[in-house]
Amino acid sequence: MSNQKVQVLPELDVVYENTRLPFPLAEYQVRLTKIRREMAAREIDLLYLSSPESMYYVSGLNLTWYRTGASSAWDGSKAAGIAVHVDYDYFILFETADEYGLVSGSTCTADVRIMDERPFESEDKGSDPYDFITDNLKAEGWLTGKVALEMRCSRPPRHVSDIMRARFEQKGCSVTDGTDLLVKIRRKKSPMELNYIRKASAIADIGHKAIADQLRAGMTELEAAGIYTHAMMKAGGESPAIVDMVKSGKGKLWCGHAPAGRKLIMPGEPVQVDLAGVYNRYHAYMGRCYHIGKPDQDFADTCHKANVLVMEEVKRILKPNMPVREFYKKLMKVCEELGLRESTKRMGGYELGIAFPPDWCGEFVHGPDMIYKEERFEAGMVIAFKTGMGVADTILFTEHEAEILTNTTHELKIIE
Amino acid sequence: MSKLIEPMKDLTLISEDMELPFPLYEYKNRLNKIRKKMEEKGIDTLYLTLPENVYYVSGLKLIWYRANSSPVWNDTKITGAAIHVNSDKFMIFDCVDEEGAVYGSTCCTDPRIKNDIPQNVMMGEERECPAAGEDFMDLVVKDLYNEGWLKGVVALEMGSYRPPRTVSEIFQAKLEAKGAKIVDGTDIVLDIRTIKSPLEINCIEKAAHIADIGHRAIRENLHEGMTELELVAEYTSAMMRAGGESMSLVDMCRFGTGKYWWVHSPAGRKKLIRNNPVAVDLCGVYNRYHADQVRAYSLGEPPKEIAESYAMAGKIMRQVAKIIKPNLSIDDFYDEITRFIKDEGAWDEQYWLGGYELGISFPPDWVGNFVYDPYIDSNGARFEPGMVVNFETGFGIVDTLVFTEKEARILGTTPWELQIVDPDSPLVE
Repeated sequence: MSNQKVQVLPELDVVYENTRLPFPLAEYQVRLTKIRREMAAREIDLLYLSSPESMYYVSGLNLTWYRTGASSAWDGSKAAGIAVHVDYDYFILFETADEYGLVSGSTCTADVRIMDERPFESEDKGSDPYDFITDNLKAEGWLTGKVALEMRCSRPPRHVSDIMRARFEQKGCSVTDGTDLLVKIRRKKSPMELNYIRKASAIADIGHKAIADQLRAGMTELEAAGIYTHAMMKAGGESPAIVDMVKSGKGKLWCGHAPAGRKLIMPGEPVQVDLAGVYNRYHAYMGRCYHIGKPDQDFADTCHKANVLVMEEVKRILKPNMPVREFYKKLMKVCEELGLRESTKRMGGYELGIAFPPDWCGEFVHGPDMIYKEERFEAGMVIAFKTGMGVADTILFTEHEAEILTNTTHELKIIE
Repeated sequence: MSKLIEPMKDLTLISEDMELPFPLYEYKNRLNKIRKKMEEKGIDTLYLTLPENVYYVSGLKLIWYRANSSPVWNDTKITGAAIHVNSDKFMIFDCVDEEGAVYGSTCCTDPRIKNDIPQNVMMGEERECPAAGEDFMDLVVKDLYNEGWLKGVVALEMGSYRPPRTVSEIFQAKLEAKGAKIVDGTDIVLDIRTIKSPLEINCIEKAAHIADIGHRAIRENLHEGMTELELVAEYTSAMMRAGGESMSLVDMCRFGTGKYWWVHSPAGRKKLIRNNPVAVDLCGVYNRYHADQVRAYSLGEPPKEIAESYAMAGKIMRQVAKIIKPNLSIDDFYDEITRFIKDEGAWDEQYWLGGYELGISFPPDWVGNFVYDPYIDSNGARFEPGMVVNFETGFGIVDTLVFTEKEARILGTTPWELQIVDPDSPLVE
């Protein structure tokens, strides 16, 4: 007979249909183990995660609103997050009552602690959401030494993070920055994550096909954004973390991050469309240039020939486990020969993966003018690569190959 | 004879169709309001990094602010606008990527565009770049110092999500090293933005029309078997066709009773089946001004409890329409609404019965600074002329309220009755 005292938990007082998790529970267990191992290596006892991407990676939590930029009246609830302890094979998710159904219905945690959201509720108990979190962790026996916060993330804002730090210190903990910990682990994707990024890329292809089919002079840039958004969502895609990347006209084409507006797309204009397919929050980036009518020769050479040539070279050169420095050395040599040195100043890219608004650019950044030590394009990495002349693609590395994930032509698409 | 006027360097960039959301007079007045507030608070220089506040002052809007990007770009996460209490010009600091947007879509006459890599010439143009041991942040600090803008109290937006904490701390240290005394100035522009000008209210009214178009598209396209994401596609593209911009919060569309009250669940690939309620929270957006509108639908007969609670929401909205007026105190508003809901026997059945300021927003949030509900101490606050808020009934309807000197209005024209779509004859196959 078992001598364990098994405690039956209260029934969930919540209705949430069709629990959906992006990954099997075993994948989440592997992720937690990787995190705990890295924590042990860094001598971190407790890691408190607050960035949406980190929380999603660990638990599957996917919200439309994280209170990131909301009123200071809700500062306390901006501290909602996930606590991982190095010695325990479960984590604790702190959230507000608003999200109880979602947390119960679409995350892999069974240990949810619902915070008092309104100041008057917690003040009645002589505490606030920060105390709620630290008191719970103390009672759990988890405040045993060094605590790491994600201090380099945009959530929570600085003054909320300052309060969190002070409360942990009051409980006798030393506090350090642990932003890098998950960032490092997330860089190498699992086969299941790679599968989602391939799906996301197929969705991005659908977005560009819709643009190629429907782009016309006389429509606004926002209408064009509406066209690819509609097509991608109909195909099962989710909203990208960065939106409205349509720029028309020579004047706007090189205005880095100007948003789509009510400007009419005119005959004779180039149109740059940058979009991401998104599947289970995994992003695949794809940028292409279109032209309303026949372009002049200079532009055709830049956007047509140069992009095709560069992407062919990338395909030829790039191999799994290749040092980043070696890749760019080879590629720059070809670009010099092609007379493309100036354009390479915009060439480069960044890591892709899980992203929530307002950003899809990951931690690892690469480009021809960056200084590298021994960084390599390792198996499991996924990057965006931009030619600097209007084409951008997602490249995925497996043990055997570097896959450029696109079925959309690199040639300038001329809209008649 | 006046002293010789040095001509400025010709602009070499091409920026077509400069588009500023407001006349220059409006921007001048905004700057004056900020400078007055700075004077009252004893602040010499205010450095803005929150995208909404930089846009308010200058018109600058970008699709990417490096908010959560790689630490390689940490130094450019402090790009923003600097305002001095004694200067009627402000500076925008940004990197070369955004030169076209800064020149072509802002009212700033003193942009400071710099290269963020140690290379003077980029894209054929020479600009200042970081020297050895410097980064972009040092160039900003140097400019502010050389202008004499670091003498005294400098306010940073420490309550803003941008820049992240560690970057804000580094920036603070660099400013302090040049003699500035640093304080938190998060509330300065946020407080001013609470009261909108007539031109801003005009944008929000347009945004509300766009939100109505989104809801019409929902009604016209709802059909059995579609996914939540497909429905998002329909209203998003309809609003964009009508000139609407992307919302700061997206995918707020939910099918089924299980998800109905979990209001921050994102749309997914769940399919719509008969007798399922559909809840959609969307904003029309015009020049980044948001107008919020939540409505519910049902494919066929709705579940009884949803129909009843939504009917209550409609009654509350009608009551709100009766009682709101300019300068109504928040406490009086809630006295009336609370009494009404209690008389209806529905008190304690509601979800959140509150609201928040609406106005300019960029992803990832459209929720403004001013918040009200029956439990937050109002401190005697009133719905002042110029305020725009959403109001959430707690029973499923949300709309945008506007207060002017003469009147208070609810902007949405989408009906407050639960809209039932016949699954056997939807408007679209």
